[in-house]
Amino acid sequence: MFKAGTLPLIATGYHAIQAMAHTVEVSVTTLHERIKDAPGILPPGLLGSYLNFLLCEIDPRLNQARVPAVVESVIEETESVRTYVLRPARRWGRFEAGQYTRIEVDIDGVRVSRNYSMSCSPAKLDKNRCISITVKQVEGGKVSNWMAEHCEVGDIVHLATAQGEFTLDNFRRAQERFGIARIKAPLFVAAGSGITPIMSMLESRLHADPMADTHLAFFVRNEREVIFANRLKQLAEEHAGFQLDLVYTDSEGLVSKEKLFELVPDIEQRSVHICGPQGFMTLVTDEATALGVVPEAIFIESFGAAVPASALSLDAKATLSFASSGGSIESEGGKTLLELAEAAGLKPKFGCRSGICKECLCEKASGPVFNRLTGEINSEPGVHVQACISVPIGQVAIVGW
Amino acid sequence: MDMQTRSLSLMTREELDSFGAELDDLRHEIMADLGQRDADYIRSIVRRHKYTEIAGRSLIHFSLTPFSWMAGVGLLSLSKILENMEIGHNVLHGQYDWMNDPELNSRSYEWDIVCDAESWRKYHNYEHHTFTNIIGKDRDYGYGLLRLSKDEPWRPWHLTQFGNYVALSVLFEWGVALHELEIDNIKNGTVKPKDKLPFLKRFVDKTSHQLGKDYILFPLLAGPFAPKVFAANLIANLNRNLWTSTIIFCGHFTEDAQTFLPEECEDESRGQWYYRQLLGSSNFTGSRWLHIMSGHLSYQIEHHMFPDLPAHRYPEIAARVEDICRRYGVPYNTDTFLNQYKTVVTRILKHSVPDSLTEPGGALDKVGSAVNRVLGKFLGQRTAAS
Repeated sequence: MFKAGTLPLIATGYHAIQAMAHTVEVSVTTLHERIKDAPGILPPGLLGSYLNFLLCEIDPRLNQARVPAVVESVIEETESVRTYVLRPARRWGRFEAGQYTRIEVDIDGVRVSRNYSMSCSPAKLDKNRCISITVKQVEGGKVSNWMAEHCEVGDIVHLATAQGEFTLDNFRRAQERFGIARIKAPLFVAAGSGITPIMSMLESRLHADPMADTHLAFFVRNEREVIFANRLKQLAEEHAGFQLDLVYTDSEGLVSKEKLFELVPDIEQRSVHICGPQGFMTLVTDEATALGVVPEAIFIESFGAAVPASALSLDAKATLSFASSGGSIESEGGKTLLELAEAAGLKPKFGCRSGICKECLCEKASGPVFNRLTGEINSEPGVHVQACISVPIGQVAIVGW
Repeated sequence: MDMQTRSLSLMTREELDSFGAELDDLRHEIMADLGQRDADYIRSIVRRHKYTEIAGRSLIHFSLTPFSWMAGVGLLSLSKILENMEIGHNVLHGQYDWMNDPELNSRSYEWDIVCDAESWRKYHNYEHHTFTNIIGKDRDYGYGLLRLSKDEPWRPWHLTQFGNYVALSVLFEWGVALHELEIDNIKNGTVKPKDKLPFLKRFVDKTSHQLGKDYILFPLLAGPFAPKVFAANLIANLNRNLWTSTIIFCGHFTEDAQTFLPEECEDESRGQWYYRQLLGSSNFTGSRWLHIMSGHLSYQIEHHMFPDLPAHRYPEIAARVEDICRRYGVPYNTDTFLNQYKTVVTRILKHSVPDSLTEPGGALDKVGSAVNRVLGKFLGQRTAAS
């Protein structure tokens, strides 16, 4: 069939093609990685928008206009808490332990965003190019429930630059200000999913200094609700300077002054970093102050869970604040954003004043508003609402007014 | 009987209220149903617009035969029409604001015509959609160029208004862009030229961007073949002008589309507003792609009742709107595209001469009906033949 020597020739040819294909594949992959992580390689304007359109058509992970992050794995922490390991494009940058990022997801055609603290140390990003966020399913929570039900490995979410002041810098600055004798080490106090930014700070601190004096008082309902149980126990085993106190509030009762003192007898020599529900943080702040902690060395992170619509009352007293002009006004019974802004002396744009033309559209940074036309309540952060038919029913902040 | 300006009091107050309530319910029902399907739809249209533009411009640039060049012009025209009608117009109405996507948000979207989006939102979304067909308040009515109702006294210069109409269609985007200038109001002194400076700045910015892109940048990219690219852009923009003006004229200036006087629209209820939108608008029927290419302005009635509902939903609700109208005994103006356009041309011609000539029994009425008969016969035969 074949002349002698044909087969080796075919084999050589095959290997050559294979090698070429491999080279092409490697260079395409490298190019792919380069583009994915590139810091703003696109020209501005129309040309840039078309190039980005084509890049997104090839692969949504190449999107240059936003920062895509791929879900690498999902870890079940407890029944209602999951950790999502994300691999963001390199231009996302870095973060400080304790900071949070805004994560954007598309839910039924709507882009929704929420802030979540990173639950890993920055070292993890340096090592694996990954970060993790930890999400607790909240009753009625749009994003947390969507994440639990739909977010899978390989999905793409989008991230905003990390931000937040609840970092280890607070401890360092407090120590510089009041001296090492007055503030020798930090105490972290967490409740429930408030552990997330604290986990990041613990790992970061102990990674940098394995012997560092670090104390954590973690309040949870019961043993089943302990988020990061294994990671915390491992830290306690590996680091002699780390003291872990788990408090089960179902059996041991809520946080109190006595309890805090019993757990942390040297509390007055520490800076206190608290994260949890608002009521919890207020309580711990008061008690820590009463136990002699320097008030300026108490730091809290309010990670605002969206208020469920059912909990809002239309007659509730409302405050409207204006981000640009810096003013604010109290609402007097059912007045619209537009009427209130005008009462406060501002002159926002408007048209029909009856919800038709959208000339008065304004960006709401946060807070609940009631739509007179549809009867809907909108508590989403960072959305546009029609000022002429939106009535504030809580603390509402408007960007650009 | 010619009754372009008709009283709004055909329904009782109670009837108007329940008419409005039924339409409000329909609106809420669709609003609550908006979701992934609508997001997927508009993104698929954006994708088609971009691909046709890329394909069209590539053909125009690299074609070596007139045929492929013409195909390129066709694709670019198609792309520009899609962007203008189904994307730009509808996005600027805020139909997709609920998606919270800055690329499809009425605040941040800028469309591919010489009219800047801010100007459009003000003069179209607010003035035209709030005061639809109210003479003196809706300056879209005849664009200050055409006499389309007996309420406006006839002047000799109206004799040439068919020519004006053709010129307006050819230069449509420029007419739209200069709308905010209010030349008529500057002339009669109600608006000071000085107040229009901010607008003129925006006008210069936007037009220079558009002209620079279509008539300088793209032609220059083609080097020695610049003229063929220049010509292609000119033709594509012309095609879009003719198409959009034709669609828009079919929406408000058909024979039965009514006009209103400001005093009858004072303290208007929601029901009255809906009713006026209905009487001032007209639909036309056609295939799915005719609707898409018209930005679903073929459902002008539904668009005027629900300007911020995603337009691709209009076909779904049209039957229900028509049913509501029938139950309240109010006219729902719809016909084929060709028939509606015929009445537009008739209306423009009819009002270009003094009313005495066009009144029943008048000289032109006789000629007109004769022409209509012949035209009807001719078109009828053609339809039958196909």
